[in-house]
Amino acid sequence: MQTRSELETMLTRLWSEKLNVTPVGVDDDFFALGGDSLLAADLLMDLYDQLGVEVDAAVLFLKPTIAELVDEVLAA
Amino acid sequence: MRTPPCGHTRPPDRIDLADPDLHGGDPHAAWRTLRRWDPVSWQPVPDRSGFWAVTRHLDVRTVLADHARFTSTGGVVLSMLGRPEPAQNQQFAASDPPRHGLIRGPLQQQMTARAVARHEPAIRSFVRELLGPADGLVDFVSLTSALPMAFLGPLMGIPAADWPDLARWVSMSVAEQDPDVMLPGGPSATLDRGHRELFAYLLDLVLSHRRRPRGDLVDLLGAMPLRAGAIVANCYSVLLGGSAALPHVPRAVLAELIRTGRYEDWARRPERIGRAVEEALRFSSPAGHFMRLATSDTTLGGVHVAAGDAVVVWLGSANRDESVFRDPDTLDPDRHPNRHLAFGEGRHYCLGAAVARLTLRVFFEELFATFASFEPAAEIERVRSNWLGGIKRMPILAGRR
Repeated sequence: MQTRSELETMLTRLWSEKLNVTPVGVDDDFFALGGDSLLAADLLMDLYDQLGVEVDAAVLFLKPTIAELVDEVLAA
Repeated sequence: MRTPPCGHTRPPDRIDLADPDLHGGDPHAAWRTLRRWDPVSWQPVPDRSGFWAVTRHLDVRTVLADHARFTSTGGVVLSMLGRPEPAQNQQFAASDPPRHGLIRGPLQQQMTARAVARHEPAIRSFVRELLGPADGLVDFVSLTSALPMAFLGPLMGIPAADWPDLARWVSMSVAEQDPDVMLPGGPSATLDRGHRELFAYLLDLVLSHRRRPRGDLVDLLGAMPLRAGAIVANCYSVLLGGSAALPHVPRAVLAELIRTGRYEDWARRPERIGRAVEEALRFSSPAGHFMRLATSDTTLGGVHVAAGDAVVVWLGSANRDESVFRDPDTLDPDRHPNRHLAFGEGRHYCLGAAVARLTLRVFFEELFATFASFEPAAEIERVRSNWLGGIKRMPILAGRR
């Protein structure tokens, strides 16, 4: 199981890749950075594949920050 | 600035077809005027340029049939006007051939009249349960709101318990200007929220199908060589296409039958239900418009349309075109031929047309068999939306047979 900081690093890299944006902060809003719903679905699926855990998709769609997503992954 | 087409002797008063209040009232007077005086009419939209409003049957067919001249890749509804379409070439609704056919083809095979016929018993028992308890004072809108679940259960594996949430998110996504669903942040925030709720729900649905396949449309889409976002975007098309418009067909028809006192006329002839369903679709036309973008400079109905211009066809108007339909405002169950465009035309013709026809036929059969009469109990209220034409409140007194 990864630590919070490992997960944050991994998610920051994933967001940068999907959005073509650097730097990405843990409190930045995925959609405000240029993300759309299709990219959000891609990102979650990549995350599930890499971590082997699934979270409620509504987290990324409705509370779209890395900090919130990490909370969910740690709780999963 | 656009110049109006030649031949006008009397330009119409300013008509704003993007205005949801026009559709929340009676849009037919405005459409009639435009068909007569300005059938390809430039409609400016503040901050977003504008669009050509196409209101005649012939021109609507031309636009929908000619995907080379009028593309779906730039968004297909007015709420996308002037915005990038993230589902471009990813979602069958937002693609042109040949890409469109690659995604839609496999779904189409499951949606033919022959393929959906096997769902009839399940649809009928679902409709019987819907109508079962209704007696006395009922809101016909509440009574019909779950109708799409008659087939969305079998076709997408959506559990009935999820419907109330889904119905609200679907309304937010197609009628974002209606005060019943609009969030304090306004139409744009409402549309965004509805989209995101549905995408989250559908992503979870796709994953649950991966764990346990059901042999339905979600499994078919999930097995296609598409990115995850595209799979979900296509599930979204199927869900919205299947659920947003359909319940409005029986509402509009029953309201008209009550108004004209012709309920029993319709109820007494179940053998002619096929034509009556087509007329119900023509008369109600709940999917109000579709948008395309012109791919090159062209002319439409004698009007010059520039490359990149948005062209919006109004299906509800085409279906009342007096040059095609005699007495177009009369609901005539024997109307034949009935070349209505309620399901669109061309390659994007409604994927669910066969299951919609089946569901409507079963619904009307069960309605007519169950109820002897209906009386109005209060004023009808219409949806405030420039896309969804329909009724959102309809209190009536139902008398059982």
